[in-house]
Amino acid sequence: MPDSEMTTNLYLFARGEQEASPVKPEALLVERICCGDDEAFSEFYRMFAPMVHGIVLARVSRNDVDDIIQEVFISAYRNFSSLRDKNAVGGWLAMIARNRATEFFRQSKPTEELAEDVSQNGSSLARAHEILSAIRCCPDAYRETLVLRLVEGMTGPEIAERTGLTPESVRVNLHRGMKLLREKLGIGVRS
Amino acid sequence: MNDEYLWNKTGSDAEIEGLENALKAFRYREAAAPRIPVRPASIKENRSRNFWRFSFAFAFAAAAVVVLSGAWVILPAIDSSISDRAVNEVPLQKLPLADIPIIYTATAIKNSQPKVIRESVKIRQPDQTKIRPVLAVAKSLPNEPSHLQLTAEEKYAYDQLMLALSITSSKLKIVKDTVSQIDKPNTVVERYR
Repeated sequence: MPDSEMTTNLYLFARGEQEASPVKPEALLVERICCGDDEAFSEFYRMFAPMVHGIVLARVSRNDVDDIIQEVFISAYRNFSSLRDKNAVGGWLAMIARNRATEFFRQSKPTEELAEDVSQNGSSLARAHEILSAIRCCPDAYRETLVLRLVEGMTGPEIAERTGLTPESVRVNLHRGMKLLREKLGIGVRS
Repeated sequence: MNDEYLWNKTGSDAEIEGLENALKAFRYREAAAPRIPVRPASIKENRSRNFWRFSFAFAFAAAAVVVLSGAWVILPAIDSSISDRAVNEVPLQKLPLADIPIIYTATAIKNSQPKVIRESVKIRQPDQTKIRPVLAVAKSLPNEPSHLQLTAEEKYAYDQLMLALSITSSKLKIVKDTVSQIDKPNTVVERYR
């Protein structure tokens, strides 16, 4: 290690800071949003809406998901100034989504979700509801990762990047969650 | 179950693909971003600006109250000390007694504060044992109008003396009134009416 680099690291260590990490694209978007760029907010929304959708869908009824997504993004927009590490905006947004969903779940009365198009494609939708209900019965960490993977179609690395979780924990959650889901759906038993 | 497919979609796994296809119905459908609230940042800025404005106004008002109340308490003391100093700093000089009016200031002499007065009285009436109880009554000398032509220096000294006497007499009056605690007429004329 060159002397200058070592000196820099020592200096950063003494100040209690880590070596400066590269700025992520979402951090640049946040900077632009803070400067009043509305287009940047639309880009930010497109980037993170699937993740927020997955997190919320793992907790609340499908009919209420859209409203909660809107609330989450408006809340994020209002509080961007309080975000210290712009690189961690994904984890921060995921936390807002979890809190909103939990809050909504607490306030709402227990209802039974009914499939929209029971008459059309009844069997496939019923199957989808069955799978989603089974996912929702899993522990928090598993169901969130499973929804992001199976419903939103995100890969493991994408889930880790968006939610701010480590790739290792996402991988573990996926593996264990899938195992649990198979047991719940009886897939393992059949095969 | 193909773990690699589950992790990063490499390879294939019919079971997971079946689940994905079934759950596709719930996938997020792209929608427009929510309408952004009208510049919350500027609202926050205005709030903080208003806060600082009110804080400064309040601090200024508090400081003004403190200064005024302090001045109200301290100023009388300063005033009295200044007038004492003014009396003591009056230069002692022998005035041409014929040119100045005779002034009897009984209380002043009793309290032994104004040295000028005492000296002038002593010089004018050295053997006087009893002083008339007159407070700051000035008498001019009508018989000697020609002697009233004073030089600039004499006039200055005269003015200084008059100033010292007026300060002393007013101060002594205050002291006397305070000691006696009696409401009396304020002016000499009223008192002797």
